[in-house]
Amino acid sequence: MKEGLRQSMAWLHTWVGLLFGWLLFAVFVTGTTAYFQDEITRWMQPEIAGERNLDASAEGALAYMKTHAQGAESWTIQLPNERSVAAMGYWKEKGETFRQWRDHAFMVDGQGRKVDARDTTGGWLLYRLHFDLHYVPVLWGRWAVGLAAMFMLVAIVSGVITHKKIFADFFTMRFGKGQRSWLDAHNLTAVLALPFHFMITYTGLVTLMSQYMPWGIPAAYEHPADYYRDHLGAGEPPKRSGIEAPMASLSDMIRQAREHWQGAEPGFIAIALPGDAHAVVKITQDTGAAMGTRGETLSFDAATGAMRRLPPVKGGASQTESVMVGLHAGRFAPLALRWLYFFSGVMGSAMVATGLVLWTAKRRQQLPDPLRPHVGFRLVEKLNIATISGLPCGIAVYFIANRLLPTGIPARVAWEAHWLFIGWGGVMLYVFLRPPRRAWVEALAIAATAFLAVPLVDAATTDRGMLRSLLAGDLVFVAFDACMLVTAAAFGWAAWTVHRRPAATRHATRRGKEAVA
Amino acid sequence: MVLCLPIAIVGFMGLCLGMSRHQRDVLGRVLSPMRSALCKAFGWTALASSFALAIARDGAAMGAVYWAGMLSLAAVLVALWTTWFSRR
Repeated sequence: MKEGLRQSMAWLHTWVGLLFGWLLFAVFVTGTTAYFQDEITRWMQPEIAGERNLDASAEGALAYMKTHAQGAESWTIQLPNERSVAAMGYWKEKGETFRQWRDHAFMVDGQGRKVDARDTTGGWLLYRLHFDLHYVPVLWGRWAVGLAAMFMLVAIVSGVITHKKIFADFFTMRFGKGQRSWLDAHNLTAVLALPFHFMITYTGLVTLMSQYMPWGIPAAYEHPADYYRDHLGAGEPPKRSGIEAPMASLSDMIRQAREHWQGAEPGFIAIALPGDAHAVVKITQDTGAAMGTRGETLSFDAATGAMRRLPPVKGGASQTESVMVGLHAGRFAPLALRWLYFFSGVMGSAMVATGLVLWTAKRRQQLPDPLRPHVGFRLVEKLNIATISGLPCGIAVYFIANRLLPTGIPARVAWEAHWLFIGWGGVMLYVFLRPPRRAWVEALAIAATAFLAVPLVDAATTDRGMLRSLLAGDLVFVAFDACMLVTAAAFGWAAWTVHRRPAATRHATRRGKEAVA
Repeated sequence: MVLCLPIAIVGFMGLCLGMSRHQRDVLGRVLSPMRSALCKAFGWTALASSFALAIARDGAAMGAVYWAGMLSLAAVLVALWTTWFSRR
């Protein structure tokens, strides 16, 4: 313990950053895409077009379930928000678990018509990847991401302490200077978006606090269900009366809700025991209607259409949580602010990526024999390449799979997700088979090609390609394709830069050796 | 937003030009301590005005969120601007 605070913090920062860096990169990248989750979903369901109309799609979804889901336990309608078009309806039959909802899900457009859109999880998959991961039980995924987030906080604090000249280097970015440049880039992306990094990590932990810090609930509540009732407005479920009763006008209940919220829109409608005299309609405010994301839920007697007693006003702690989660997810953000969120997310991803690369850049010179790095160094270098270019590449492959997988094949949704990991895994395998420097260039080039292919495949397989969308004034599709092209250009530029970079001695020798061999 | 971002950019430019390292890159010479201090004062004033403007337009909560995001963008743009000079 003779070494100073700064050295020990540097050690902590280095190893925590390395250990969780790959996971954090995936969390940052998928989280960044999640700010445009609804736009991604729209792009991934090109069959759905037109304008949103809340009331028409609510009535349309209701009418569909009246004909197809009589006697179900519950009907649910997820209404479109400001950035989407279609509503999604689903029902739960008696004895089914909530997770089976996908079996009875359907989409309704702004005119209340059911649309046969391709089966996809859309932007939702990337959003869920952000905190649930994939192929592992949700709880494990959340523990892993939570652990990474907690150590992210450690890395932020230790990073600030380690950074010697946080103000003197504030605007400093020197290109083409090897390790120095990587450090500049890491500092720049970290320091200039520091408020975002700190906010997003802290509030991210808050989103899942009842899992990470569950002890508060049993300390204050005898029954955990009471906590959820108070906090989330989940009331007692109604009991079936056995007497049939037609439902009053849903549009009128929506109107009452709007009036009560002074114009804020509803986002979610859940009807318990539809068709029964005891049926209850619950209307929840759109999560994007205010900065606090947990909007109020109003209950109505389905048979009479009358509003039941108002939910209790939330306490300070509850409202603070709601705002923190809202600040994290940015659902309230209008378009300009949404782009700022996206930009900050890109900065975060770049911060993690440059930090990972810095680990190798720093150690390369100190290797006893740079030609034969030890196995740990090689593993880190390969994992860096495989993650930094592989995951984005996988996302591009996911988009391409959305266009190329035939509609109606069994488990289409699962296969779209599999393709994300096939794309990522493919790059990883490739990277492990190639010498590091070539692996960088080629993996980055593969990612660039994949992103370039997205708008091309889109134009070839749908009638909503970039040019047509531009002519039709469909800015969501134009912007999506433009983002793909910009990402392709960024990866292409990175590949080109690595390719052209004057090879260090070690590379020159290595290539010499390859030429001989 | 329309006015806020340019003001923040100008503010960061002021702070940046108050530092001798960037003075050499951007202006090709080092400013006197007096002028450097003036640049910094101007920079802080501009940043404060952009904050006031954001709050005035969008209210304390929304304005602060906007301002924080915009500040990052403005700072990155200014950092790239100085880099562009140092590379020439």
